[in-house]
Amino acid sequence: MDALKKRWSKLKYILAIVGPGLITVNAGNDAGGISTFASVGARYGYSMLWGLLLLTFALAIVQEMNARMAVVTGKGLSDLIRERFGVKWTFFAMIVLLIANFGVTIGDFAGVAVSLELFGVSKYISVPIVAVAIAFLVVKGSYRKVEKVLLLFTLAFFGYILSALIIQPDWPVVFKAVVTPTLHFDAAYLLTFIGLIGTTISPYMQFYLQAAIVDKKISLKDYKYEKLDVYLGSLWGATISFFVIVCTAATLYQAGIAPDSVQAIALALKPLAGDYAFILFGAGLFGASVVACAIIPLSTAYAVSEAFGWESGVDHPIRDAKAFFTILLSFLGIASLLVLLPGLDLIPLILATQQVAGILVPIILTFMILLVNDKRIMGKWTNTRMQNIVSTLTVIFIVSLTTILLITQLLRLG
Amino acid sequence: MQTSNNFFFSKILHKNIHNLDDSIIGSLHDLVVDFSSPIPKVRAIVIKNGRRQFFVVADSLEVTRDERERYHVRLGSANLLFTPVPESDIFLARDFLDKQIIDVEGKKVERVNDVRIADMLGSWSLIAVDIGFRGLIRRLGFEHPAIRLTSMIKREFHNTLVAWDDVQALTHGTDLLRLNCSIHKLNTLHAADLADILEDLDNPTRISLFKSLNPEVAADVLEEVESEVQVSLLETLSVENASDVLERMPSDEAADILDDMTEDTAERLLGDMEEHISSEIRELMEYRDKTIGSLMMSDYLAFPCDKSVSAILLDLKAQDPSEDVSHYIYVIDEKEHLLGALSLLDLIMADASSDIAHLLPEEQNLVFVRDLDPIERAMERMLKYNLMVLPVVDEDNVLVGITSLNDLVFEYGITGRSN
Repeated sequence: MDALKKRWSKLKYILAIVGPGLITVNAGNDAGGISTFASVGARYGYSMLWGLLLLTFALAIVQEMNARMAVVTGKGLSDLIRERFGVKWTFFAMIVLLIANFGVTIGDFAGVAVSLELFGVSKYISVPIVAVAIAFLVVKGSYRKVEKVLLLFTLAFFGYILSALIIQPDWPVVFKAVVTPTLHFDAAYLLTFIGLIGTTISPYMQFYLQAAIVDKKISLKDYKYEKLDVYLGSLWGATISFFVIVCTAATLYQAGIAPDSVQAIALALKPLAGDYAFILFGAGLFGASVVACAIIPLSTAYAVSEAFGWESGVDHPIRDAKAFFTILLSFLGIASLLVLLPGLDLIPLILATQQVAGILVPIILTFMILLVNDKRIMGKWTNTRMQNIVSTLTVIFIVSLTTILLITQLLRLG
Repeated sequence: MQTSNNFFFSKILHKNIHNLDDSIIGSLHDLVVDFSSPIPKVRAIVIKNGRRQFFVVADSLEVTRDERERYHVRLGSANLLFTPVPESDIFLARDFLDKQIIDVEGKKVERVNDVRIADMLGSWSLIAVDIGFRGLIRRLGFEHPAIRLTSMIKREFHNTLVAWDDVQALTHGTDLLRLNCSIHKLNTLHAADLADILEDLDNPTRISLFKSLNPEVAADVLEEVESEVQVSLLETLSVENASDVLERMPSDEAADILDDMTEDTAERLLGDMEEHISSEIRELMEYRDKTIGSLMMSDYLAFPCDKSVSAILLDLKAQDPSEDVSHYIYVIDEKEHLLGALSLLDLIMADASSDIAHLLPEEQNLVFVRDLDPIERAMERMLKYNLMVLPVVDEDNVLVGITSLNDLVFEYGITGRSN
C-alpha cells in the first residue's frame, strides 16, 4: 500500500514536469500548421512525407537543446543571446523574431477569421471581438483558465487520425514515401517545403518552450523527465502533421481539389464526420488559432523585454512595463487590423506567413547552436557530436533551400 | 581633442589602439578587472590583433575624445607588456557587460547596458553601471542621432546610472559566485525585498545567492518567497542546513513548505530537526488545506491561571517573543483548556502581585475558532470583533494555536491571484 502510494506520488511528480513540450507543440498545430500540412498533402500527395520525418528528428534535437539550456542556465533564450552576444546581435535577433512572430500572428488571426466563416460569421465581426477578448484576458491575467478550454478544442484534430483510418489509404505507398527523399526545384514546391519547416520548427516555439521550462524551475536531476517531455511533444506534433498530410493527400490530392479554401481543407475530415466535418474542423482550427494568437504576442513581448532588461509580465501595472505591453497590444491590434483588409485571400496569406518563418529559422538556430556549445554557459552540458551534426545540417539544409529558391526566382526574372 | 578621464566602456570597446608612434597595434578586445577591491580596478587591457591576443598594463591607457564625442585610444608608455592573464580572471565585456546585477538602492535586478570608467587616484576604476535606455542606444551606435532628436523636441535624454556603492555584482558563466565578491551590500535590504529579487533571478544564481545567506536571514527570506521557489531553494541545501533554516521559521510556514515537498524529503528534514519543533510541525501537517489548523501558528504565549502578573512579565522578558505572537497572552488551566485572553496592556495596567485568573472579567465573551473550522470563519470573526489575532482550540477546548490577520491576508492574497 505504502509502496503504491509512493509510486503514485512519484508519478504525479513526473507529470508535473512533463508538460511544456507537449503544450508548445500542440499550440504549434495552429492555423499556419494545419493549413500548411493540408496544402502539402493536397498539392504534392505523399511526396513530402520524407521531409516531415527528417524535420521531426530536427525538431526533437532542437527542442532538447532548448530544454537543456533552460535547465542548466535557468535563463530564457533571449537572455542568453543578450549575455553572450551583446546589444547589437540581440537587436538583430529580436528584429528577426519580431518579423517571424508578427507574420505568424497575422496567420493565426486569419485562422480565426476562416474558422468562424465556416459557421457563417463574418471576419469583420469575429476578428475584432477575438482580438479585444484576448487583450482583455491576457492583461487581466485570467488567460490561463481559458487556455485549457481552447486546448480542448484542438482535440478535434484527433479527427484526422480517425479519418485516415476510415479512408484506408494505400499504407505501403505512404510508408515508401516516408523513406524516399524526392526534391523538385520549382518555386512553388520549394516554398511549400520552407513553409513546412517554418511551421514545424517555428522560431517562436524555441523562445516559448525555453521560457516555459525556465518557469518550472526544474533541477538538473529531473532533467531526464523534461527530455522525455520534449521528445514526446515532438512525436505528438509530428503524428498530427503526418495524418493531416495523409488525409488531404488521400482525398484532395486524389480528387484534384486545390486547398485554397478552408472548405476544401475541411473536406479531408468528411470520411469521419460526414456533413459535420466543417463543424469539427472549424472548432479545432478556432481553438488552436486563438491559443496561438494569445501565446505568440505574449511570448514575443517577454522575449524582447527580457533581452533589453525591461520590466515584463502581465502582473505588472501597465505604466511599469510600458515596452512589454506596447509590444503585446500592438501585435494584437495591428495583426488583427491587417486581416480585416478587404479582398484578402486568407489561406494563401496564412501559408506565406509560415514561409517567412521558415526562411528565418536558420538564424535563430545558429544562435542556439553557438550558445549550447559554449562551455562557459553550458559547462559539461554542451551538445554531443550527433546533436551538432543534426542541428547544423538542419541549418545548412534550410539555407540551401532558400538559396535555391532565390536562384530559381532570379533565373525566371532574367 | 581633449583628454578624457571619465567615459563609458562601450566608447572604447573594439576601438583601434594606437602606439606611442601612432601606429595601430590592435583593437581593444576587453579589460581585465579586479573586483575584490571596494571599487573595482582595471588591471590590464586585452588587445587583439588578428588572431593574436596580448595584455598590456592598464595604467598606460590614454583616452581622448573630439568635439563630436568620438573616442581615440592610445598607449602612453613603452613598457607595457603584462603577464598573460588566466581565462578564469574577470573580463569586463565577457563576464560583466550585458549580465544581471542587483541595484541595491532601487531593490531590483537589472541588466548592465554599459559601464562608466573613471580615473580614480591614478588608476582606472568602475564607478557606475548604466542600466538605462540611453545605454542601449549608445551600444547600438545611435546615441548621437538620438540626442539630436530628443533636443529637437526639447527633451533631455537622460542616463540611468547606478553608482558602484549600490551595485551588487552577481554570477556568470559556469563558475557561480566567481566574482568573489561578498554579498554584504544586500544586508541592508528587507527580507521581503530580497525575496522579490531572488524570484527575479535565474535558478542557478538564485541558489548560489541563497546559499550564501546566513541561516537567520535565509529563514526570513524563505518565508517571503512564493511556494514553488521555497521548495526548489530548500532542496538545494544539505539536509542539515535545510532543517536548520526550517527550524528558524514559524512552524506553520515550515509545515506549508514541507507539505509541498515529496514525502521522502519532508521526512528526512523532519528527522534532522529538534524533536519538539518537528513534532509541532508534524501536528500542523496533519491538518487539511482550508482549515484554520493548516495555517495556525503553534508559537503562542499561554500561562496557567494561578501565575502572577509579575512572574509572567519576567517570563516574557526572558522569552523575548516575536511581535506576531505577543498581541495577547492566553490563560489556561492545568489541562490547557482555554480560559481567557489578556492584552499586554491589561497586564501592564494590572496589580503586579495578582493572579492572572483574577484579571479575567466575570463573564468573558471569549472569541475563538476551532482548528477544524474553515479559514473563512476566522476571517469573519476577526472582522466582526475587530481582532488581529484569534486563539484556536480543538474539540475539547484545548488551546492548540493562534491565527493572525497577517497570515489570513497572505493566504487570501495568494489564492486570490492564482485562481
